[in-house]
Amino acid sequence: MVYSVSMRVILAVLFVCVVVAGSGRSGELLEGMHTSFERVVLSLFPSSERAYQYGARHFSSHNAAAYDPDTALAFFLTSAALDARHPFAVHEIARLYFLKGDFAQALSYSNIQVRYHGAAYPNAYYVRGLIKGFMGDYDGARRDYEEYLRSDVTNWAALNDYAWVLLKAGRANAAAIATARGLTHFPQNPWLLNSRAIALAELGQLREARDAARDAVRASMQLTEEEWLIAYPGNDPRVAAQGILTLQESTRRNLGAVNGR
Amino acid sequence: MGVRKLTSFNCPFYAQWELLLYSVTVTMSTMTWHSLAASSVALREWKRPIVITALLLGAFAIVDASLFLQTPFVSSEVRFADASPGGFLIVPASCPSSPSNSDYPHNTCSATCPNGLNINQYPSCTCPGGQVQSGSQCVCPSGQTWNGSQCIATSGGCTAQYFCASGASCTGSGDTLCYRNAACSASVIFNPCQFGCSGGACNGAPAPVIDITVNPSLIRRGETTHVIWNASFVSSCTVTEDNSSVSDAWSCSTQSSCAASHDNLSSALSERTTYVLSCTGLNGSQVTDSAILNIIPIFQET
Repeated sequence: MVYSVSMRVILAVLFVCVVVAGSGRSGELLEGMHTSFERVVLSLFPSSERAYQYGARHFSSHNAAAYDPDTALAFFLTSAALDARHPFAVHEIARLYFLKGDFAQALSYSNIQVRYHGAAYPNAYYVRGLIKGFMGDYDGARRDYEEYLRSDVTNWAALNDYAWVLLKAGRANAAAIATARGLTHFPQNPWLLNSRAIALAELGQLREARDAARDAVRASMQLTEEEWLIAYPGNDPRVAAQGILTLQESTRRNLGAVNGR
Repeated sequence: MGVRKLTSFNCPFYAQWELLLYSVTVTMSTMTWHSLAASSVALREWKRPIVITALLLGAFAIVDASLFLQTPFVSSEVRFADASPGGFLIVPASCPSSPSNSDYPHNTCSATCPNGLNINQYPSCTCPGGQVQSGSQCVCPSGQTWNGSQCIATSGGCTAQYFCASGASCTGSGDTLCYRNAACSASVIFNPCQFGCSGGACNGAPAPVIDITVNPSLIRRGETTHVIWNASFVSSCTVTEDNSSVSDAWSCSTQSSCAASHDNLSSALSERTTYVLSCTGLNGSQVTDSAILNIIPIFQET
């Protein structure tokens, strides 16, 4: 009888496994167990690098099932607590606080990252520039972007963001130069085209601004979610469509505003 | 299933023991969960396995739904568009923020040279100043060297330079300043350097050395004295005095004439006189020295 019950239970379990696997939700179910497993392993065998790798897994736009900024932050904080000099743990903490909208926390962690790892990993400056820009410190952001661009002269996102803070500081001419530099290598980049259209419009070069704005609208309409996630790493893959919409609406409004002048 | 999922993470830090532990954890979790459910129903109602299955499916469905309904994380970037001074909407991006290529490699946002050159070093993707590509770098062709702005010929194995040598043959070491071009042809620039040659250049002139004396320095009223003066490393000198009743003055105007020793006889003097030697050094500096002649006083008994 015991044998018979066991066999039925096993058969039931196998049946459930087959059904769950077939439902397409097995990834999420296993993900919960996987995270528990990570926590258990980390408790038994604490390691800064292991905690960082676990955090990175939950912070990847590639893995929608595992993506969880709160879990990622907890792992990164553990990583930093186990080794304050880990090359990327503090960097990722700053990014996560930034994405969560806690710019003060993000800036404090970003300052630490720049101090200890800025020379080896210049994108610490880029992240701090981004945070400062969102906080309205455009001059500070400009300096950080310039520092980053010394090591990555053709990075379109850095050039676009550099143009952003220059425009906010009323330096449209410098912004036009920065966007032109980026468009040399990325002629169809919608972010660069949009920023260039704005710079030219601010300079009163409406004809050229209109052309750039039109190109920006066209390029933004062709943007894919994969491309958007490359432009905004660390974001939830499920919100890529919203992000694309923000850019598309901005380019359309800008084209309308330029046409109205 | 667990193993397949694990490998899809592409995480290099899982050791074999972790893989094993993970498999055991998943298996035990699954079995424990289902065994508990089974024990509550199937052990008592073991004749109704369909009910057990239905209950388990229900539990999965609840968990599944709760996972499925999780709200997506909308970060500060997703809906952000900043207004320019003219009211246009700027949209920043954040491509290079990911470190160490852990998520999307940030270098996917940077251009690369189609010819493989390092674009950060050569933004135009072309080699400057006559250099040719070697891998991701640019180098001067064989037989040429980079002088900071272009490649120059080093045919014959020479690098154009100034150097110190001896005599007109520009060989060995000495005080002759020579120049050798890239074709290894040497020529004399200064032979010899007046103050020696070192480090591929003539040494500069030393500081001037001057001296003036009067002999005797004490005379009776109406007598004369000798004004003696010397100067080294100077290009010109003048000797003047401050006695309004005489007009003694001497000078030299070349390095060689000034280098000689000078002994000039003064006019007859009746009062205290100061002779001043002023010279211009070969190094451009101005120097002065002076000597005083005194008159023996005359005492009268009253």
